[in-house]
Amino acid sequence: MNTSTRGAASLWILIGIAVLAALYIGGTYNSLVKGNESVDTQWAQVESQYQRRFDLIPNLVESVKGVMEQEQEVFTALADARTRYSGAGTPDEKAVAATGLDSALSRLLVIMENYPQLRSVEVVQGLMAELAGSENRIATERQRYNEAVRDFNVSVKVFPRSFVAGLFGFAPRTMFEAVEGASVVPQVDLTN
Amino acid sequence: MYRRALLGALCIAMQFAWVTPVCAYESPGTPTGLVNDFAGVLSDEVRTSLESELAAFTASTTSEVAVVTVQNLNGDYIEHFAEQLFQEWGIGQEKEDNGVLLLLSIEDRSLRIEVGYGLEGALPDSIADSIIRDMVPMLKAERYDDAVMNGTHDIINATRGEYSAPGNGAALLFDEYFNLGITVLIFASFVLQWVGAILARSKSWWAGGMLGLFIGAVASSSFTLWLVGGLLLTAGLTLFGLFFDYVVSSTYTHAKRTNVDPPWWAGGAGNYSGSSSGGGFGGFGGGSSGGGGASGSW
Repeated sequence: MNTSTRGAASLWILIGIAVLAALYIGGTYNSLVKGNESVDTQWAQVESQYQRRFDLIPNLVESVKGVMEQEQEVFTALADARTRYSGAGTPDEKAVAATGLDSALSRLLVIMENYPQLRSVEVVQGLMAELAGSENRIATERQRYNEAVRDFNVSVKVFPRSFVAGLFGFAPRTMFEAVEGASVVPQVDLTN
Repeated sequence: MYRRALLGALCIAMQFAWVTPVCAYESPGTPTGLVNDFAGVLSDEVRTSLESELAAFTASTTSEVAVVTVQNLNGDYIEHFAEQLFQEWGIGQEKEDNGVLLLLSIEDRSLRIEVGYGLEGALPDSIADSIIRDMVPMLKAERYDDAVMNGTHDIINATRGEYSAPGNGAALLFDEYFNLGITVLIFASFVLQWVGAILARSKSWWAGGMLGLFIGAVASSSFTLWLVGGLLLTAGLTLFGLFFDYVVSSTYTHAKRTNVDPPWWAGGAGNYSGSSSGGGFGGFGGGSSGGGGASGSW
């Protein structure tokens, strides 16, 4: 075989490799985009559950205000937390504000234990059930969000995809972490 | 009660914080029907009558109501257990998510109604909570049959109007798919014959392989198949292309040599093997839940 055909053959091989590499990069980019989108979608689910709880709180406050007239600081704290939540913009701010709302709400619920006559009020029972359901939904959506983030982070960090990810600027996303002190069981009297 | 629910919710959320297996879900098994009495607390008559009632409800509305009793939760929280079980079995239709799970844990003395996304409007948390509160006195007296019958009837009544079975719509859909399938087959056989004619003219058979390689590479990248899957598909198509071209080319050259017309390669006669599913439960529809519903204890 003379040099010209050898040169032509290696040129064809080079072109073939370039084409395959381009196809691979294209395919990987698409899958990274899809992973990113599913993380965003799942975050939207989490936010809609936050919103649901946010909307339930005024109903609860209205139905217990009559009985709990002297507990004004709790209601003010709750109102402040709600304002802060509606003022939050980025997902990180929203997550922090949601935690603040969570603790203000728990304070109200703990104080409600001091008013046993509230337990038999139908409306309050229904609202408490809705709030408990809301908390459960938030937890479920957070879990699924973490799953989506985990899958995406794995696909971004795995070799050799990490090169394509770096090339197009795909960075690992942050998961939900348990709030500090959340693992400490709150001491609440549940005798009913 | 809210506090306890909060702990259960926390357990679900911390699943990925690698917390020690406080929330260890173990599957109770595969479903044997809509009523799964793993704890064995329901009488036979109640089990069979509930099963047929729920099956009729599913047939008329496509909503799936599952009743499950377990002996204990293995230390798990009932909210976490119910959510995992709901997802594992996929209760409700996949598109509509119209499933409801009524779960009782006898030793833990707790129960939960888990509602799928699609039925959260018909069965909101407050109604699920009131259903549970009605069941609690009967459960305290260990009248499990009555409690479960009552709860199931309440759930059916609440969710009755939401969904309805498609009826003839399903048959029409099959017709559409059938027509589409036939059209694709005819088109494919024409294309195959045309490609075969072109490839046959050249005695060598690497062109077919190149074609297979090219199609495989394009398909892999455009459908973003997983890397190895894409490679396998490409390799498979390449081999198929080589083989196809080899067969077609050799037949052509042979025919030319013996001065006979090349044969007509119609699509192979496929043999249809239907699979029959005999008796037994076919499984749920693959619906999912978002954690809605209510819990209680007795």
